[in-house]
Amino acid sequence: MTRSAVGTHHLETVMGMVVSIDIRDDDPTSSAVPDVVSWLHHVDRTFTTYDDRSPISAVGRGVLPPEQMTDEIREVLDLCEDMRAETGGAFDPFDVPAPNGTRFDPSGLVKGWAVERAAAMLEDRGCGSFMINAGGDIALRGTPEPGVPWRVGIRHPRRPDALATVIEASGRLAIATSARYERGDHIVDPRTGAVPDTLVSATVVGPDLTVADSFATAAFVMGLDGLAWVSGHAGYDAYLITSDDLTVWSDGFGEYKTSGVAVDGA
Amino acid sequence: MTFGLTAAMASSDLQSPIIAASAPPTPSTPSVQVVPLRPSSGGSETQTNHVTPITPSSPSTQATTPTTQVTPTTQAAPAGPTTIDGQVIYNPFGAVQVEATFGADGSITDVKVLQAPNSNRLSVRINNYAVPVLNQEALSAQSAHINGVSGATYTSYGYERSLQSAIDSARAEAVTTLA
Repeated sequence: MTRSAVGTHHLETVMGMVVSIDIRDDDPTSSAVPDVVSWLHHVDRTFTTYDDRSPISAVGRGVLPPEQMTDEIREVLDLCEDMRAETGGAFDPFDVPAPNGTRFDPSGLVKGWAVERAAAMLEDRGCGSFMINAGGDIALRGTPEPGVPWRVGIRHPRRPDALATVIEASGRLAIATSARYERGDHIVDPRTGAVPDTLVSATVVGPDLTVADSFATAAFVMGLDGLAWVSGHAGYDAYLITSDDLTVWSDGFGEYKTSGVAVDGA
Repeated sequence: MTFGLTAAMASSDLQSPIIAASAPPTPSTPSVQVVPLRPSSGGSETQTNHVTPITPSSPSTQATTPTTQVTPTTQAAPAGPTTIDGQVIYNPFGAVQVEATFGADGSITDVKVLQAPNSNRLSVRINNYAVPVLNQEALSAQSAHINGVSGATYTSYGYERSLQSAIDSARAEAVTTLA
């Protein structure tokens, strides 16, 4: 046996996706995974825009008085406003078509926020080495094994079974990617209504997944300008794949990016 | 004088990016790196004024009809790094001003982009090694030994056939086996 396989691994279908919780600590607190799973379902119920009865749908319709908003809803609203302002409107959850028929859809931000909170919950319960992957948005801590970094692939834009690159990281890192693949365009420039077509994917790495997630969406909308924009924020870096298959990344991303040497037989 | 960079290339999987180069000074803030994910076809060549084939590390490949002014010398390798001027090449975003340096074996060791569309002054390094890798099938989840994948929107519907699903299965099995 060359690799130890300690820890806990859990898959949870929630928020319309599969969340992978991979804990590498020898003996994680028994409540760690159940607590995180419970949290994610709570977030789903509160913030789903697929259910007209959810609190966030009421916010979108403008029928939830501020005094009835929970701290969580206020926090998400504040974060949405912060990210909208920071991105100059390139990320604007207040002006997008939502499944519930309103123009408010914080789902993208909520996903990153919920996972970042989940990571904090695991840390509070004594976990120091784990990766949470929520539909491709990742928060990681520590290392999978002593002295070994986490390795995360960035999906190839046209080949679901292949990777465009691999990054290595240990400690604390968030990784978020906004992309349009063969299934169609999901991202609209809130400032113009246009569908950005310069990039096929924008990956942002940094300390916080809430920020990384919002920045990835903004960078996708900004196109190549997103590169300098993202890397202008301390601790955040970007990796962009253009529609004509150029890959472009900031110097800081290069610190994480592995070269081809890590690939077998290459 | 303006020089450019483009990904226009021939059909071989092993070919490197085309770099046209100039040799002004090399400011570098912020730094940016550019690599073509695959050789692109006709489309961008129509926007290309000149093409400089740069595939010294891939002896088996053949460049396509370049209107070359300068190409790296791969036969009589120079003793040290050589900085080479190229031609004006436009990609869909406009001209990019670059400077390419070649190692003794003719491979690109460094490319500095001095001007790029919508940006001020950028520094670019071509990862000559990663280019062929991206075009091979070797970058599978299994061979790359990855712990996760970013960039895939794994809805609960599409998850089953995803790379992340395979990774999770392997991890779950490992945990179960040793539990």
